[in-house]
Amino acid sequence: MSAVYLSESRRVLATLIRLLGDFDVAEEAMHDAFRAALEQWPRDGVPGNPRAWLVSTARFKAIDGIRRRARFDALDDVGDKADIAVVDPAAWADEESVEDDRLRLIFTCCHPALTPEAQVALTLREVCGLTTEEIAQAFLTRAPTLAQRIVRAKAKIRDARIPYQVPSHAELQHRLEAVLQVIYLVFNEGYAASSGMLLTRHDLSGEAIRLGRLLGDLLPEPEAIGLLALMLLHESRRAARTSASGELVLLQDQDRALWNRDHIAEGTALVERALSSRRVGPYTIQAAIAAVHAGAAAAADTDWAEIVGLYDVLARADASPVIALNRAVAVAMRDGPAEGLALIDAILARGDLLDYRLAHAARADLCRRLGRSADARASYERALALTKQEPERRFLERRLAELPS
Amino acid sequence: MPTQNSKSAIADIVGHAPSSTSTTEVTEITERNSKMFCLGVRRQAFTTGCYAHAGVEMKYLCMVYLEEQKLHAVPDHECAACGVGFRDSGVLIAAEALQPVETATTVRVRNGKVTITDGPFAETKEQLAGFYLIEASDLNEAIQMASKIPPAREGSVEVRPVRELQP
Repeated sequence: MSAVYLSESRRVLATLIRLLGDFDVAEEAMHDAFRAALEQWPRDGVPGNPRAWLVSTARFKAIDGIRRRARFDALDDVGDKADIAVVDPAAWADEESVEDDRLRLIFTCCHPALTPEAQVALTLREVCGLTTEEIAQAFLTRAPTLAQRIVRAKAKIRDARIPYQVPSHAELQHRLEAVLQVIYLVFNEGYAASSGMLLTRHDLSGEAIRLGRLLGDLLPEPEAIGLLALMLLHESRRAARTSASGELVLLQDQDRALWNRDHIAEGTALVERALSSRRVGPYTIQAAIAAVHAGAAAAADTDWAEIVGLYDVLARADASPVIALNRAVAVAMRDGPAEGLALIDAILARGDLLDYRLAHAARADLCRRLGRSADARASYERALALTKQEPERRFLERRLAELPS
Repeated sequence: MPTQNSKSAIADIVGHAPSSTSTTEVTEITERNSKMFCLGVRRQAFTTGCYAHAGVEMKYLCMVYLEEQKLHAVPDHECAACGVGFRDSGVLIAAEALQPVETATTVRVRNGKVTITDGPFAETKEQLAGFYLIEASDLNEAIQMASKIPPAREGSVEVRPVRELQP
């Protein structure tokens, strides 16, 4: 039964929200149906199509509930609700509409009319089936705060009538971006956490990859594929990113034998698939950069010219200073530290990234390699003042201590 | 609460621009949007609804907010044309532009006593410059309409669902 719950509960819920038109009613009905299954299946045997059984049982439970409450409600109101619940059974029987329901659920949870925090919480709760406590723990938030966030989001969906639908073709591009952003946010939260002190946090990166796979199956848009590739390629380095004592290990110093070959193979194949679409977006380009790194047997073999070229494309698509910073670091690797430093100083001179710790850390590193110890020291100290993560702090302190005085 | 059958009468106040201008504008927007992105062929029935309240229209108030110096940044005839466009497609209940916030008076009743103060209820950088009361089947549709309100490019448009008063 718990296996059926794991594999079917999210699909059943997605369909029930469509049939019943309300998140809470659907959730309650689904739990009623699983409770009924717990009683009946051991006695009568598991039905041929457990999912259809669950959906139809839940639907009847919900109609029952509505009828029971009917005695207290105005009659016309009840009429509406009962009509809604009695729909053509074919609507939920076929595979395609069930899969569409899952996509509807994703787009509704990631609707831009909800705050990004609410989008993330609702997606993890409704699409991934995490409990409120699990999400709260993962985001270091109090459970009541998170529960309230979810309640508010559901109330807005109901009261402002956010529709349960996959956006029209005209809106799809923009709305897909919001969905990808939620998935990447979840991934990054988990990725940063793995290097933090709290190793007990829920495996958010794994959850994000599962979400990415689901989206890639349901809606194989190039950027959805690109994001999945990017996450897999980052995830492939997880074991190499921290030393046995929990210290941060930079890409160039990582033991590449620890990289997950399966992730790399899958990620690289996905990048190629996304690139071949000829509609290349920022996630795909970042994934391509990660794939170039993954393809180098040793740090010294890295094709920096290729990486700079990819950053050029990325910078044209997105003029963010963080991308300019990453490009500067790649230029430093291709042409030497002085060239990279000039670019970073230009970014900082524009007033961008003055409070971004990695800009100062990168500047410090280039100054160190150029033998400009005093400049390196000042930048390491600035980076240290801005850093909040413990392993990163220890890394910077170590570098600072290594500088010749 | 205004009754729904006052719809066309109120809408008449809105505009005087020739309706042909606005309809062309709307058509252009739709055409451009549809070219933006093309999804695979697998599913046609993506947006065919299936929500509990399908078919039942909702009212949304689209409130236009503008900074004081931008109150006249969008020519009146453009806003009027937008209203005419909404009216012609049957979604408009009412639309009006407002006098600047200096003309506002705030009324409160406390313990049965009426207090009147000069100015708006809240001091903000942007002020309420006008509104469109529209009908839409859901928020996505309301957002689509709100994005066509010309001052959206100068200030912002707050989209709020109308709450039906309980009997």
